[in-house]
Amino acid sequence: MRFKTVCTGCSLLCDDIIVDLEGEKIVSTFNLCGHGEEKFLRARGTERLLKPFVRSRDSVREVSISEAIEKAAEILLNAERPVLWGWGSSSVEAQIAGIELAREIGGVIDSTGSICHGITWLAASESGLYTATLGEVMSRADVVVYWGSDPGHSHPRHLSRYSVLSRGIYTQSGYEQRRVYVFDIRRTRVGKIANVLIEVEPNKDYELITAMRLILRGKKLQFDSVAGVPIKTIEKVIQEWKERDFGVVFYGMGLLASRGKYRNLEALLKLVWEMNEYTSFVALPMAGHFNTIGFNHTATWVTGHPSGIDFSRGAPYANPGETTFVEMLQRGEVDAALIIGSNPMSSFPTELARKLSQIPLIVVDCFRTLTVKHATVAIPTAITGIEAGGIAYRMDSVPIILREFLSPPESILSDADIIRSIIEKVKRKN
Amino acid sequence: MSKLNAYQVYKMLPGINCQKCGEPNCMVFAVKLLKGEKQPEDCTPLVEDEKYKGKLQQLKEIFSPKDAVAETGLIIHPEKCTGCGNCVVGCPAIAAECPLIGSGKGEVRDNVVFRVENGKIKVVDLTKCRRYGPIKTCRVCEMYCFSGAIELRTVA
Repeated sequence: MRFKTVCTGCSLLCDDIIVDLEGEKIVSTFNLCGHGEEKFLRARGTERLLKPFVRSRDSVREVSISEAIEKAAEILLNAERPVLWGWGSSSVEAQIAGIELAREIGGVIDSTGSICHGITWLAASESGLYTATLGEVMSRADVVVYWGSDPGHSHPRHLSRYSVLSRGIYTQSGYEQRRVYVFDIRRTRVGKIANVLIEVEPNKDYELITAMRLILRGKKLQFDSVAGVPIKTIEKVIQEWKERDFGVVFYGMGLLASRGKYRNLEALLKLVWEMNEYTSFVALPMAGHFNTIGFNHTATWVTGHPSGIDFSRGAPYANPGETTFVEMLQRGEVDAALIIGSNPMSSFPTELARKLSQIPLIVVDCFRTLTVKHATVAIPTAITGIEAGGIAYRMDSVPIILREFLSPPESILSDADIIRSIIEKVKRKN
Repeated sequence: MSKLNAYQVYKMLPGINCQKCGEPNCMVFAVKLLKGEKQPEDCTPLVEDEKYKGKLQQLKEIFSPKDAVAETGLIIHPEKCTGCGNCVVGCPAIAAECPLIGSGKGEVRDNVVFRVENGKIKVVDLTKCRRYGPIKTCRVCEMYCFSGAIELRTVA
């Protein structure tokens, strides 16, 4: 049977995936990149977490789902400062349930976005956000800028599906009509096909953006080069951008994680804003997990804050740095955590991973990750987008409906259902 | 075949300048035959008239379907491929055949040069490649390949 579906390999959420199924087995896939293919194959792979377990001292005991949920509720209720973290690979439904759970237990809810693209909203609150959908980018953009992002590794279909190669309404010539600019510290994969590759010295993005803003305002700079880039090159690039019709900047972690963090993005967004005096210019995040952007939207329209929301005072309160998971963990504040669809044990620095392993951990995941191995309670879940439906936000904040096409392994629930069950248990115990 | 010149091909044609093939005369047809823009079957008298049967046979043998891989010089290294589909969407031949694929939207077609299948690029019909025809300089797929999975050898 042939099935058309959405890929949840990254936040590009390609909606033109064709899967040939024979019963419950994936025979072949079409239009899926390496990332998506890997995710689809792992659904029936050997790395799946299939049985819930509870760890007590040194023994690990396999339990039923309801028993695991009971234990999870108990841990969360006994904790003084519980944190619910992850949510980047969960559906919007699960995120809404998560916020309700945080409200119920008076805990903190935060997403993977707070150490990733969630800081977009922090920068946007300072300088505003000029944005567009990827459809508009495909149809109009004739300047495509990748700043600190390499779709060649992170979003393989980005160029062919939406940005450089695809032919839109006003870009019928595709790649012939567009100019690709890459700002990175090295020659990345996308740098190989760029028209202009600008190698910026590490941690000097802010200086370069400031110089670009000055040149845009017609100021003369007293240096020969900024951040390793000759002034003449910057002048040429700015002049080229001004003469074009529609520009788009795709910024990635290369910009957000280097020195200056969200201030780099703030400066970039101001540059984009100033470019709009001459032509249309927008900026879009190259988010990683397929629903990272979704959490920020969901949390904003449910609580009023994009991430790191604290319910311990009754009303939602958020202050980045104070109520975000990493900082709380660093201060030793957290005494229980629910990790959903994320693997902080492998991605956090050793010091934080050690602190994380010392507190009771409830892990809701579909695979046997390193975090699952350290879990006090592990609850398996169906894979969103393959075995469970829901809604996810694409990197340009467009909600996409996900549909399930495989049935989950026996007695395994979707992440939204698991969180709702925990809420029920918590309400009963309260 | 490479040793043949247009005059030698012309001698194998009827030489009656009937213009049924749409060309002004048989010499032009011979040149186009050599370039690969025409096939021997495009010459109506050659196919319809019994007396040219021998000549038609001879021409068919010379202009038999070419080895597409050797003709295009296209070599794919699947172990390097990331399935990005840049080659598929960028390909001018595919965009002309199927505008939907050219606009980035994936579709399963059998009359295209290649498509992304199981996360890798797969050649479907290499005879649709522009390099199989007259445009030997087309290198779009190689140019936009991130990972170096597509290699185009220079062909004569």
